[in-house]
Amino acid sequence: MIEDLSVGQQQRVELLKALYRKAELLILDEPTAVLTPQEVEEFFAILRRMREQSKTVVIITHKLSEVLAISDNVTVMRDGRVVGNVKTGETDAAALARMMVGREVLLRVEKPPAKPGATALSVRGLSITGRDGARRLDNVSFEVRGGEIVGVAGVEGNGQTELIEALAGLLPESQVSGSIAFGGRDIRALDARRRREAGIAHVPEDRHRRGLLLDFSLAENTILGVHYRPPAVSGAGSVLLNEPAIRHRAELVIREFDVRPPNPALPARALSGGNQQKLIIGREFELPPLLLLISQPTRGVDIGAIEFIHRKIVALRDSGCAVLLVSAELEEVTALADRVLVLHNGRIAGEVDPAAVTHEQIGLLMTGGHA
Amino acid sequence: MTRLRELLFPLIAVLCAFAVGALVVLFIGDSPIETYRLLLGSAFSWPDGIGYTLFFATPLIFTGLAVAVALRGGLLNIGAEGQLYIAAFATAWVGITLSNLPSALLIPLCCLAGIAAGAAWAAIPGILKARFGSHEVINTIMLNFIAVALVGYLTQYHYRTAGDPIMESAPISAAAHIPRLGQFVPGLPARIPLNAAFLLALLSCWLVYVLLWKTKWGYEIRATGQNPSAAEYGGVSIRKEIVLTMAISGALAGMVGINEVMGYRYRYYDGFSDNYGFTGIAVALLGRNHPVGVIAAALLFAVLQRGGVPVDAFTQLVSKDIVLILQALVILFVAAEAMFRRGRRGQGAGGRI
Repeated sequence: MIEDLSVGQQQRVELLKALYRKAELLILDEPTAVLTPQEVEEFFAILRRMREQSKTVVIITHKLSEVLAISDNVTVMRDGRVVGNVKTGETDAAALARMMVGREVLLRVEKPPAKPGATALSVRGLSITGRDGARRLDNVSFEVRGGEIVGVAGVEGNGQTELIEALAGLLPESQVSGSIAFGGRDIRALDARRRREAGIAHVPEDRHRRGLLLDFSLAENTILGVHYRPPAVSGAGSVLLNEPAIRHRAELVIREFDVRPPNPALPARALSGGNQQKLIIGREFELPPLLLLISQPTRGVDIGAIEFIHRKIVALRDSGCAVLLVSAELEEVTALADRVLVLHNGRIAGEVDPAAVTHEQIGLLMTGGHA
Repeated sequence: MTRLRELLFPLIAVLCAFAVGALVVLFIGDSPIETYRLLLGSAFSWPDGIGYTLFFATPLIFTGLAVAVALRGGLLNIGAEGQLYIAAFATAWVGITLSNLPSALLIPLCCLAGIAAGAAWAAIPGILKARFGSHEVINTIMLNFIAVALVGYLTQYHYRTAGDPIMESAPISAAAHIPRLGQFVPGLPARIPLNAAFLLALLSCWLVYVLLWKTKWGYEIRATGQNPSAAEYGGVSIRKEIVLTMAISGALAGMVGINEVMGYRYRYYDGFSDNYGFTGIAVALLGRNHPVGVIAAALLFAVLQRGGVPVDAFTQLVSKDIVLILQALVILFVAAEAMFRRGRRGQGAGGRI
């Protein structure tokens, strides 16, 4: 059945279908999101062959490198308007980014060398079984130290989601085996609330499903997870919500993380994806965390906000926080992380130094080969 | 602005219902103006109109609140009808059994018995959902039948006065009676059954408002209703919230028994509920699941209920069934508007991503 295939394979089936029907015009919306670098290359080769057969391909993507690699003409859109139309040969990444955001953008992450401290998170022999009985994570062991960013690379659906949810305390204990130690103590028995109290912040991969209460105000969203304890509550028994304190926190998050429009009374639904993401990140950073679990931090976020979020993550690391970063964007992982774990089929296929490895080598590990 | 719109939509729904209702009356062959004058006019006469309208509104406020709280928590409680029967019987049972106690003890005990019984009866589908994932709609509906049969059995075989031809319990102790408002309000005769439970209903509205919007518990209930995954992420136990929300909902529905048993009939009267539990769903929907909206919607439905009788008596052709038609139309327009909003919201969200 088609549902038994991986998302990447499903993608290829979808493409095959279009090719088989002798499509003259192919419109692709973020087609490479679930592909490894090698697969992207193969895929681009197919597209180039189609171009030679005088077919038309429209590719919608947020990855500048892909635009430059595959296209002949680029149209840049911002806020639903076309802001520019250029020949690919006559432009470069910086110019495109400028058009997308409307100002100069730093494409490289400025990052001083990490100064790893004591071990914050220690995972030993972690295995996760899904509700359907399938192994999602298989005997995974690793450590994250304070002051370092450990990146997790891998094609989506290779256990990253489950790994983060297990660490955040969102999976039933029966599905998880192995040990998870935080700050030297076993946290397997702690629920999500207790883990957050211990200092574990979590920026979930899906902000609409997990991260936000879309119909709640920004202010109410900035206390999710800490809503039951001071300063969010006050008075006898800590029952009544402390509205001035909540508003104060919201204003702080909005100011520090440049959430726009800066109105704490707006529903979270009214914000753009980038601003929603900044709100969540701001909320979690204000905890303040000793360990940050952050998944797909910049998915569906405009390039200006990406730069901002990356700087914030590095700053958090430099303040001594341990960061476990999962991203489907290989460039993001290698740019931010100090060490990279590659997940394939629920196992760690290898650990690499992002400064010394090529995307092709990581890509090979992502598909189960050896670097 | 959003507040105003919240108010505007239900108002439009009601006006549309009355407009279509007028067409129905015209079609039957009577004057809509005359019919509506009878329907609405009688509800505002003093003291009978207003007294009875408020009395009729009391159980609807309780059940409307019950449904509203559950909906805020993401649960559809169709079982308010069963919960209020069980609760009313429990209230009467305490009033009969502990008849030696003085008022100062008996009144709170009777109230608590009803509240606890309603909460417990509603907690059953809550626990079933939390533990086994079985849907609360199915279970609350089925528990309605069980509740009605159970209290019917108890009344018939255990608590009926020998020789009484009516399906009703023995009277409760006079110490368990709560005062009628006629005792305090000049010009309001004591024969009108409007009683202290109406004040309790208003108090409950305020308490529900504070609970939902001013406390951490309400935050968790609303968070669970809005997005259970996000609530779970925020450290809220979804299972606990489901049971808690159902229990609060059932407790509110259970307070209907206080109005009925302690303030009106002074005994348990089998089959007393005029579909209060089900009308409560319409009240909550029209009232936008907000306590203030619930009061307004309950008053509207009470006015209709009260106005049906004069319509029946004084028009040529229209019967009091026009009330049912109007109620149905209101619900229809409220539902249509909800669909309209959902459609628009979906588009809006899609456009912004």
